[in-house]
Amino acid sequence: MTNEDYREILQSTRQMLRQAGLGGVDERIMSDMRGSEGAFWDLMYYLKHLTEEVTLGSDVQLGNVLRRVRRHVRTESGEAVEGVRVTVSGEDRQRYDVEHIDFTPNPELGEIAQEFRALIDELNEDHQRNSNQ
Amino acid sequence: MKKQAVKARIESAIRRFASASSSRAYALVPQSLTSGKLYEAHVLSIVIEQLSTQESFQITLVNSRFIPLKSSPGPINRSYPHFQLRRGRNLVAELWTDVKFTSLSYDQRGPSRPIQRGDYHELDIVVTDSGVSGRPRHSQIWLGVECKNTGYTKGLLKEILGIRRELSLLQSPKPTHFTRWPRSQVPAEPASCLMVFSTDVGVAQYSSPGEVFGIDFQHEQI
Repeated sequence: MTNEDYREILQSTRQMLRQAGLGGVDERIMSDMRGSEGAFWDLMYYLKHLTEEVTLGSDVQLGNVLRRVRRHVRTESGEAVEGVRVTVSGEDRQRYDVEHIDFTPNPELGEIAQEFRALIDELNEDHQRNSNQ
Repeated sequence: MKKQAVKARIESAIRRFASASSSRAYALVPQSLTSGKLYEAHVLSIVIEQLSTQESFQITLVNSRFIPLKSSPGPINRSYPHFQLRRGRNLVAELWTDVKFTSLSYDQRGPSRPIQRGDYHELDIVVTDSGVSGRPRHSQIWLGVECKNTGYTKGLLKEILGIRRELSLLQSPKPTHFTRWPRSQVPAEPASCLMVFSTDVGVAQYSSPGEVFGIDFQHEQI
Protein backbone atom coordinates (compact mmCIF):
# COMPACT_ATOMS: atom_id res chain seq x y z
CA MET A 1 0.00 0.00 0.00
CA THR A 2 1.14 3.57 -0.63
CA ASN A 3 1.31 6.56 1.71
CA GLU A 4 -1.80 7.82 -0.03
CA ASP A 5 -3.59 4.57 0.90
CA TYR A 6 -2.56 4.89 4.57
CA ARG A 7 -3.77 8.49 4.62
CA GLU A 8 -7.10 7.46 3.10
CA ILE A 9 -7.55 4.64 5.64
CA LEU A 10 -6.87 7.05 8.50
CA GLN A 11 -9.32 9.60 7.16
CA SER A 12 -12.05 7.02 6.61
CA THR A 13 -11.47 5.54 10.10
CA ARG A 14 -11.91 8.97 11.68
CA GLN A 15 -15.05 9.52 9.63
CA MET A 16 -16.48 6.12 10.61
CA LEU A 17 -15.92 6.88 14.30
CA ARG A 18 -17.65 10.23 14.04
CA GLN A 19 -20.56 8.72 12.10
CA ALA A 20 -20.88 6.03 14.79
CA GLY A 21 -21.33 8.75 17.43
CA LEU A 22 -17.79 8.28 18.76
CA GLY A 23 -16.43 11.67 17.77
CA GLY A 24 -15.17 12.18 21.33
CA VAL A 25 -12.85 9.20 20.94
CA ASP A 26 -11.47 10.63 17.70
CA GLU A 27 -10.91 14.03 19.33
CA ARG A 28 -9.06 12.47 22.27
CA ILE A 29 -6.72 10.50 20.03
CA MET A 30 -6.04 13.46 17.74
CA SER A 31 -5.44 15.86 20.63
CA ASP A 32 -2.69 13.53 21.96
CA MET A 33 -1.04 13.29 18.54
CA ARG A 34 2.09 15.45 18.33
CA GLY A 35 2.76 16.30 14.66
CA SER A 36 3.00 13.83 11.80
CA GLU A 37 5.56 11.01 11.67
CA GLY A 38 4.53 10.01 8.14
CA ALA A 39 1.30 8.49 6.80
CA PHE A 40 1.97 4.89 7.92
CA TRP A 41 3.10 5.82 11.43
CA ASP A 42 0.19 8.23 11.87
CA LEU A 43 -2.20 5.40 11.03
CA MET A 44 -0.39 3.06 13.45
CA TYR A 45 -0.54 5.67 16.22
CA TYR A 46 -4.24 6.20 15.62
CA LEU A 47 -5.11 2.49 15.56
CA LYS A 48 -3.06 1.75 18.70
CA HIS A 49 -4.80 4.50 20.63
CA LEU A 50 -8.15 3.46 19.25
CA THR A 51 -7.43 -0.05 20.59
CA GLU A 52 -6.77 1.40 24.06
CA GLU A 53 -10.03 3.34 23.86
CA VAL A 54 -11.90 0.16 22.93
CA THR A 55 -10.61 -1.62 26.04
CA LEU A 56 -11.98 1.22 28.19
CA GLY A 57 -15.51 0.64 26.88
CA SER A 58 -18.23 2.83 25.50
CA ASP A 59 -19.45 3.91 28.94
CA VAL A 60 -17.90 7.36 29.11
CA GLN A 61 -18.16 7.63 32.91
CA LEU A 62 -16.51 4.28 33.60
CA GLY A 63 -14.03 4.79 30.77
CA ASN A 64 -12.81 8.06 32.29
CA VAL A 65 -12.34 6.44 35.71
CA LEU A 66 -10.39 3.51 34.26
CA ARG A 67 -8.30 5.73 32.00
CA ARG A 68 -7.17 7.87 34.95
CA VAL A 69 -6.56 4.96 37.31
CA ARG A 70 -4.70 2.84 34.75
CA ARG A 71 -2.42 5.78 33.98
CA HIS A 72 -1.41 6.31 37.62
CA VAL A 73 -1.83 2.96 39.39
CA ARG A 74 -0.05 -0.33 38.92
CA THR A 75 -1.29 -3.66 40.21
CA GLU A 76 0.74 -6.39 41.90
CA SER A 77 0.50 -8.61 38.80
CA GLY A 78 1.39 -5.76 36.46
CA GLU A 79 -1.88 -6.20 34.57
CA ALA A 80 -4.30 -3.33 34.03
CA VAL A 81 -6.96 -2.43 36.58
CA GLU A 82 -10.05 -4.29 35.39
CA GLY A 83 -12.95 -2.27 36.73
CA VAL A 84 -14.71 -1.08 39.85
CA ARG A 85 -16.00 -3.54 42.48
CA VAL A 86 -18.46 -2.54 45.19
CA THR A 87 -18.40 -5.08 48.02
CA VAL A 88 -21.94 -5.44 49.33
CA SER A 89 -22.33 -5.52 53.12
CA GLY A 90 -24.16 -8.29 55.01
CA GLU A 91 -27.57 -6.65 55.17
CA ASP A 92 -27.50 -5.37 51.59
CA ARG A 93 -26.19 -8.75 50.46
CA GLN A 94 -29.37 -10.43 51.64
CA ARG A 95 -31.55 -7.68 50.24
CA TYR A 96 -30.08 -7.63 46.73
CA ASP A 97 -28.79 -11.20 46.60
CA VAL A 98 -25.33 -10.17 45.34
CA GLU A 99 -21.93 -10.26 47.05
CA HIS A 100 -20.44 -7.53 44.94
CA ILE A 101 -21.34 -5.23 42.08
CA ASP A 102 -18.80 -4.99 39.28
CA PHE A 103 -18.54 -2.15 36.83
CA THR A 104 -16.44 -3.42 33.95
CA PRO A 105 -16.23 -2.81 30.24
CA ASN A 106 -18.14 -5.38 28.19
CA PRO A 107 -15.97 -8.48 27.53
CA GLU A 108 -16.89 -8.20 23.84
CA LEU A 109 -14.73 -5.10 23.78
CA GLY A 110 -11.70 -7.28 24.50
CA GLU A 111 -12.43 -9.25 21.32
CA ILE A 112 -12.78 -6.06 19.30
CA ALA A 113 -9.49 -4.76 20.72
CA GLN A 114 -7.88 -8.06 19.71
CA GLU A 115 -9.15 -7.57 16.16
CA PHE A 116 -7.50 -4.15 16.03
CA ARG A 117 -4.25 -5.59 17.41
CA ALA A 118 -4.23 -8.32 14.75
CA LEU A 119 -4.85 -5.72 12.05
CA ILE A 120 -2.01 -3.55 13.38
CA ASP A 121 0.35 -6.56 13.28
CA GLU A 122 -0.65 -7.38 9.70
CA LEU A 123 -0.25 -3.77 8.58
CA ASN A 124 3.19 -3.68 10.21
CA GLU A 125 4.29 -6.88 8.46
CA ASP A 126 2.95 -5.63 5.14
CA HIS A 127 4.75 -2.32 5.56
CA GLN A 128 7.98 -4.11 6.47
CA ARG A 129 7.74 -6.34 3.39
CA ASN A 130 7.14 -3.34 1.11
CA SER A 131 10.09 -1.47 2.66
CA ASN A 132 12.42 -4.41 2.02
CA GLN A 133 11.46 -4.70 -1.65
CA MET B 1 -2.92 -6.14 1.89
CA LYS B 2 -5.68 -4.39 0.05
CA LYS B 3 -6.86 -0.96 1.11
CA GLN B 4 -10.56 -1.84 0.76
CA ALA B 5 -10.16 -4.98 2.90
CA VAL B 6 -8.44 -2.98 5.68
CA LYS B 7 -11.19 -0.36 5.61
CA ALA B 8 -13.87 -3.05 5.76
CA ARG B 9 -12.27 -4.68 8.81
CA ILE B 10 -11.98 -1.35 10.60
CA GLU B 11 -15.58 -0.49 9.77
CA SER B 12 -16.82 -3.82 11.13
CA ALA B 13 -14.84 -3.40 14.38
CA ILE B 14 -16.04 0.19 14.88
CA ARG B 15 -19.66 -0.89 14.37
CA ARG B 16 -19.29 -3.54 17.07
CA PHE B 17 -17.50 -1.06 19.35
CA ALA B 18 -20.32 1.47 19.00
CA SER B 19 -23.01 -1.05 19.80
CA ALA B 20 -21.25 -2.76 22.71
CA SER B 21 -22.47 -1.37 26.01
CA SER B 22 -20.87 -1.82 29.39
CA SER B 23 -21.72 -4.98 31.24
CA ARG B 24 -23.14 -4.30 34.67
CA ALA B 25 -24.43 -7.05 36.91
CA TYR B 26 -26.64 -5.03 39.18
CA ALA B 27 -30.15 -5.21 37.78
CA LEU B 28 -31.73 -5.60 41.25
CA VAL B 29 -29.68 -2.94 42.98
CA PRO B 30 -31.22 0.55 43.30
CA GLN B 31 -29.82 3.19 41.01
CA SER B 32 -29.16 5.53 43.95
CA LEU B 33 -26.55 3.07 45.24
CA THR B 34 -24.89 2.44 41.87
CA SER B 35 -24.82 6.10 40.80
CA GLY B 36 -23.48 7.15 44.22
CA LYS B 37 -20.73 4.54 44.03
CA LEU B 38 -19.85 5.47 40.46
CA TYR B 39 -19.48 9.07 41.60
CA GLU B 40 -17.22 7.88 44.42
CA ALA B 41 -15.13 5.98 41.84
CA HIS B 42 -14.98 9.12 39.71
CA VAL B 43 -13.74 11.23 42.64
CA LEU B 44 -11.32 8.47 43.69
CA SER B 45 -9.78 8.52 40.20
CA ILE B 46 -9.28 12.29 40.50
CA VAL B 47 -7.71 11.97 43.96
CA ILE B 48 -5.37 9.27 42.65
CA GLU B 49 -4.44 11.39 39.64
CA GLN B 50 -3.61 14.37 41.87
CA LEU B 51 -1.61 12.28 44.36
CA SER B 52 0.40 10.88 41.45
CA THR B 53 0.95 14.05 39.42
CA GLN B 54 1.10 16.73 42.15
CA GLU B 55 2.62 14.71 44.99
CA SER B 56 4.67 12.19 42.95
CA PHE B 57 3.41 9.18 44.89
CA GLN B 58 3.92 5.79 43.25
CA ILE B 59 0.59 4.08 43.70
CA THR B 60 -0.05 0.33 43.77
CA LEU B 61 -3.41 -1.41 44.04
CA VAL B 62 -2.98 -4.48 46.26
CA ASN B 63 -5.12 -7.59 46.85
CA SER B 64 -7.22 -7.01 43.72
CA ARG B 65 -7.33 -5.77 40.15
CA PHE B 66 -10.61 -3.97 40.83
CA ILE B 67 -10.94 -0.46 42.26
CA PRO B 68 -12.40 -1.27 45.69
CA LEU B 69 -15.54 0.34 47.13
CA LYS B 70 -18.00 -0.84 49.77
CA SER B 71 -21.78 -0.48 50.01
CA SER B 72 -21.41 0.32 53.73
CA PRO B 73 -18.44 1.75 55.61
CA GLY B 74 -16.48 -0.20 58.17
CA PRO B 75 -13.10 -0.61 59.83
CA ILE B 76 -9.92 -1.29 57.85
CA ASN B 77 -9.50 -4.98 57.10
CA ARG B 78 -5.95 -5.49 55.89
CA SER B 79 -6.92 -8.38 53.64
CA TYR B 80 -9.19 -6.03 51.66
CA PRO B 81 -7.96 -4.34 48.49
CA HIS B 82 -6.43 -0.90 48.97
CA PHE B 83 -3.86 1.42 47.45
CA GLN B 84 -0.28 1.72 48.71
CA LEU B 85 1.37 5.13 48.39
CA ARG B 86 5.14 5.17 48.07
CA ARG B 87 7.71 7.91 47.96
CA GLY B 88 10.67 6.30 46.24
CA ARG B 89 10.89 2.79 47.72
CA ASN B 90 9.29 3.73 51.02
CA LEU B 91 5.71 2.83 51.75
CA VAL B 92 4.51 5.97 53.53
CA ALA B 93 0.72 5.88 53.41
CA GLU B 94 -2.31 3.92 52.25
CA LEU B 95 -5.55 4.90 50.59
CA TRP B 96 -8.71 3.13 51.71
CA THR B 97 -12.36 3.59 50.80
CA ASP B 98 -15.51 3.68 52.96
CA VAL B 99 -13.78 3.70 56.32
CA LYS B 100 -14.92 4.61 59.83
CA PHE B 101 -12.37 6.44 61.98
CA THR B 102 -12.44 6.99 65.74
CA SER B 103 -13.00 10.58 66.75
CA LEU B 104 -10.89 13.15 68.53
CA SER B 105 -13.48 13.28 71.33
CA TYR B 106 -13.16 9.51 71.82
CA ASP B 107 -9.40 9.91 72.03
CA GLN B 108 -9.72 12.75 74.55
CA ARG B 109 -12.14 10.82 76.76
CA GLY B 110 -9.63 7.99 76.92
CA PRO B 111 -9.78 5.13 74.44
CA SER B 112 -9.92 2.52 77.19
CA ARG B 113 -13.65 3.30 77.55
CA PRO B 114 -16.10 1.14 75.60
CA ILE B 115 -16.64 2.54 72.13
CA GLN B 116 -20.10 3.86 71.32
CA ARG B 117 -21.81 4.69 68.04
CA GLY B 118 -21.04 8.37 68.42
CA ASP B 119 -17.32 7.68 68.71
CA TYR B 120 -16.67 6.87 65.07
CA HIS B 121 -17.55 8.50 61.76
CA GLU B 122 -17.44 7.61 58.10
CA LEU B 123 -15.30 8.99 55.32
CA ASP B 124 -15.67 7.89 51.69
CA ILE B 125 -11.96 8.07 50.87
CA VAL B 126 -9.10 8.25 53.36
CA VAL B 127 -5.34 8.44 53.14
CA THR B 128 -3.88 7.11 56.39
CA ASP B 129 -0.57 6.14 57.95
CA SER B 130 0.58 2.82 56.53
CA GLY B 131 -0.14 -0.39 58.42
CA VAL B 132 -3.30 0.77 60.19
CA SER B 133 -5.98 -1.83 60.91
CA GLY B 134 -9.43 -1.57 62.44
CA ARG B 135 -10.81 1.95 62.80
CA PRO B 136 -7.99 4.44 62.25
CA ARG B 137 -7.54 7.08 64.92
CA HIS B 138 -8.29 10.68 63.90
CA SER B 139 -4.57 11.42 64.19
CA GLN B 140 -3.68 8.69 61.63
CA ILE B 141 -5.62 10.38 58.85
CA TRP B 142 -3.73 12.44 56.27
CA LEU B 143 -6.68 13.18 54.01
CA GLY B 144 -10.41 12.57 54.21
CA VAL B 145 -12.77 12.96 51.26
CA GLU B 146 -16.54 13.03 51.14
CA CYS B 147 -18.35 12.47 47.80
CA LYS B 148 -21.85 13.89 47.37
CA ASN B 149 -23.69 12.95 44.21
CA THR B 150 -26.68 15.00 45.29
CA GLY B 151 -27.86 18.55 45.87
CA TYR B 152 -25.69 20.15 48.55
CA THR B 153 -27.63 21.24 51.65
CA LYS B 154 -27.10 22.98 54.98
CA GLY B 155 -27.39 19.56 56.65
CA LEU B 156 -24.42 18.27 54.65
CA LEU B 157 -22.42 21.36 55.62
CA LYS B 158 -23.16 20.72 59.30
CA GLU B 159 -22.12 17.09 58.83
CA ILE B 160 -18.73 18.00 57.35
CA LEU B 161 -18.15 20.65 60.02
CA GLY B 162 -18.77 17.90 62.58
CA ILE B 163 -16.26 15.64 60.82
CA ARG B 164 -13.70 18.47 60.85
CA ARG B 165 -14.28 18.94 64.57
CA GLU B 166 -13.78 15.25 65.26
CA LEU B 167 -10.58 15.11 63.19
CA SER B 168 -8.71 18.12 64.57
CA LEU B 169 -8.69 21.23 66.71
CA LEU B 170 -8.63 24.66 65.10
CA GLN B 171 -5.06 25.98 65.22
CA SER B 172 -2.79 28.38 63.38
CA PRO B 173 -1.75 26.80 60.04
CA LYS B 174 0.31 23.63 60.39
CA PRO B 175 2.17 21.73 57.64
CA THR B 176 0.25 18.75 56.25
CA HIS B 177 1.74 15.50 54.94
CA PHE B 178 1.50 16.95 51.41
CA THR B 179 3.68 19.41 49.55
CA ARG B 180 1.03 20.91 47.25
CA TRP B 181 -2.16 18.91 46.84
CA PRO B 182 -4.67 19.17 48.37
CA ARG B 183 -2.81 21.75 50.45
CA SER B 184 0.52 22.18 52.17
CA GLN B 185 -0.88 23.80 55.32
CA VAL B 186 -4.13 23.54 57.21
CA PRO B 187 -5.44 25.42 60.28
CA ALA B 188 -5.80 22.20 62.23
CA GLU B 189 -3.98 19.98 64.72
CA PRO B 190 -3.53 17.10 63.80
CA ALA B 191 -3.03 18.61 60.36
CA SER B 192 -5.36 16.44 58.27
CA CYS B 193 -6.79 17.66 54.97
CA LEU B 194 -10.53 17.41 54.42
CA MET B 195 -12.31 17.71 51.08
CA VAL B 196 -15.88 17.64 49.81
CA PHE B 197 -16.62 16.83 46.17
CA SER B 198 -20.15 17.54 45.02
CA THR B 199 -22.06 17.36 41.75
CA ASP B 200 -24.01 20.43 42.90
CA VAL B 201 -22.64 23.69 41.53
CA GLY B 202 -24.26 25.34 44.57
CA VAL B 203 -21.66 23.74 46.86
CA ALA B 204 -19.65 26.95 46.47
CA GLN B 205 -22.37 28.73 48.47
CA TYR B 206 -21.41 26.63 51.50
CA SER B 207 -17.63 26.92 51.27
CA SER B 208 -16.96 29.97 53.49
CA PRO B 209 -16.74 28.09 56.85
CA GLY B 210 -14.22 25.80 55.16
CA GLU B 211 -11.89 28.75 54.63
CA VAL B 212 -11.62 29.09 58.41
CA PHE B 213 -11.66 25.43 59.41
CA GLY B 214 -9.64 24.00 56.54
CA ILE B 215 -12.23 22.19 54.43
CA ASP B 216 -11.90 22.32 50.64
CA PHE B 217 -15.15 22.23 48.69
CA GLN B 218 -14.97 21.27 45.03
CA HIS B 219 -17.73 21.16 42.45
CA GLU B 220 -17.03 18.11 40.30
CA GLN B 221 -19.49 17.04 37.67
CA ILE B 222 -19.37 13.42 36.58
